[in-house]
Amino acid sequence: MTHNELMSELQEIFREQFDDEDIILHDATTANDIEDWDSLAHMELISRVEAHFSIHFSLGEINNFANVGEMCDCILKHLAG
Amino acid sequence: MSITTTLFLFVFLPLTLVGYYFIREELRNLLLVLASLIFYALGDPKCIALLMLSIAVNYVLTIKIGRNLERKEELKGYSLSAKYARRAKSWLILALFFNFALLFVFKYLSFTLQTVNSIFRLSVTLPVLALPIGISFYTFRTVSYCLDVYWQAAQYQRNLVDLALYVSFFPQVTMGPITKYSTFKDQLHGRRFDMNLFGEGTKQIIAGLFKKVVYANGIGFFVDQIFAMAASERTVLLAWVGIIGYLLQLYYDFSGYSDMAIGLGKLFGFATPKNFDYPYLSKSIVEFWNRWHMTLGLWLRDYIYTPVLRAMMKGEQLSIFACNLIALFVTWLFSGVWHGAGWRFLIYGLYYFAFIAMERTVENYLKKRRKRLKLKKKKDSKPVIVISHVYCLVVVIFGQLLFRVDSLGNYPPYFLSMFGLAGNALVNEASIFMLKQCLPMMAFAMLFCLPLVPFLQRKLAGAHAVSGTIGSAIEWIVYTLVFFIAIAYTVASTYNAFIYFNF
Repeated sequence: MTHNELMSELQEIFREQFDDEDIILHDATTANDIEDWDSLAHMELISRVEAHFSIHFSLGEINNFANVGEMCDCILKHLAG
Repeated sequence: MSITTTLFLFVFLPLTLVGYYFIREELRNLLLVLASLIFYALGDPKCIALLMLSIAVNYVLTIKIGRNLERKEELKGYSLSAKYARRAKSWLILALFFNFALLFVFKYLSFTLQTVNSIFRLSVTLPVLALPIGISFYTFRTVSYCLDVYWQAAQYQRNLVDLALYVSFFPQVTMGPITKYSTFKDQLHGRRFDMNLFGEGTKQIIAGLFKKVVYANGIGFFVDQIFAMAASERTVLLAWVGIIGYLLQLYYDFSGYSDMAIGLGKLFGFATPKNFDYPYLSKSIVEFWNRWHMTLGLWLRDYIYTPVLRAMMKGEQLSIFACNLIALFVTWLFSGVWHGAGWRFLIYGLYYFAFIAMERTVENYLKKRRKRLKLKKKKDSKPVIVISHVYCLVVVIFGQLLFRVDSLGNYPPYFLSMFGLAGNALVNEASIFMLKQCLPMMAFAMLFCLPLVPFLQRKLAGAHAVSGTIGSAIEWIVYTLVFFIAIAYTVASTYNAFIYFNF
């Protein structure tokens, strides 16, 4: 899976989570750019991403995503094995 | 030593800076560690050994954690891998036990013993231990380090000097900000002298010093007098002046220190996360705590709230909403206990939990309703915004009163005096006299609770008539004036410790 393909799948998950069809993700997108992205929403989002890609983030990873780009890189790392 | 003393500002800091920029780069961290230990020893000579013990023990234990995790990764796919994972976990538990036991013995043992004695009618006594300066802050830093290593957010530190710098860095060791290890580690090496950063840091130090010695100490002088009065002698007017004054004092005291700590970090090339973001502009308690003591909030979020919530969500027995409430409850209980030993602090944490839980419940209901009716979220109307601000301030006023009163028993008399229910008058001549004395200072302090300085800086930078150089010169002239005023106050005033100094 390429970075762009992953970003588009992730965008769908975000839209579902935040119930907002207008969300467009970029690598630099952060919690400040999406209304309602608070600590609880973050954990719900993490659960959705983990279920969708059948991966498991560590707490260290969850706490240190600086933006969506870093989340993407981390997902790709898990998918690679 | 306090960072607002002339000894620090005119002797310790210049000497450290000169030494720092004149020695070889690879020795700079060592110099900062030595300076930090001297700084700590000048403030609390008896407990310097405890700080060093904490650094040494955490250094050894995290090496154990890290090496076992390395072995676990090397043997991935083999059954032996699980054995090393278990070992790493055991070392982590030991490290956490050591850190929290240290905090417990010095901060909570006396209160626990007192409680046990009163419940079981015993009279067990232990020698009273003085609270080591900054123990709550540096313990949270060591816990952050241990967990970051265990969660593999950071490599374990092989260099004792680098770890000692993280734990004991003098601007942050006594009162924070509580920088996470995973954030700090990237700045341990490769820091360069940056004139702009140095200038920014200097301005922040001046602003923080002014906040503390002029506003916090000035307003604190009146607040202390008002809180020392008997409830029946405190007029309603003074009761409100006292608590509003305390809100201002607490903000200027702690945010003043934080500004200085962040500014001091910048002089040595460190970027420290901000700790305050105009908290009194908040429209909810959730927002207030996202703007107040922000590094503590982030610490609690990453090391308490998130792990608890994740564990609850894994159970899949409760709704996400219920899991969130439980995680919030644990987090706020922890926050209350961190703020101090005593029922007052436990109630302080639970008081804020109650309002945050209520806000989350209302938010959850509104979100579901919007979803059901397929409505878009509307912007709040002006009356709603005003009501939200008032609600938040009222909750904070009664919450911070808990923080200010000396004991839980002093809360009701003060509370009653705010409404004239303690046999006190509404107003009298003496209270009007006092109000006249403190009003100018409080009015200015209230004004600067708004983002006035960034607004003026933007205006100055954007003014077409003022070139960049002239704008910068004007700014520096203002900061120099502010510095001289702050120094005059520092020299003239008696020693006045920071409120959070005893944490």
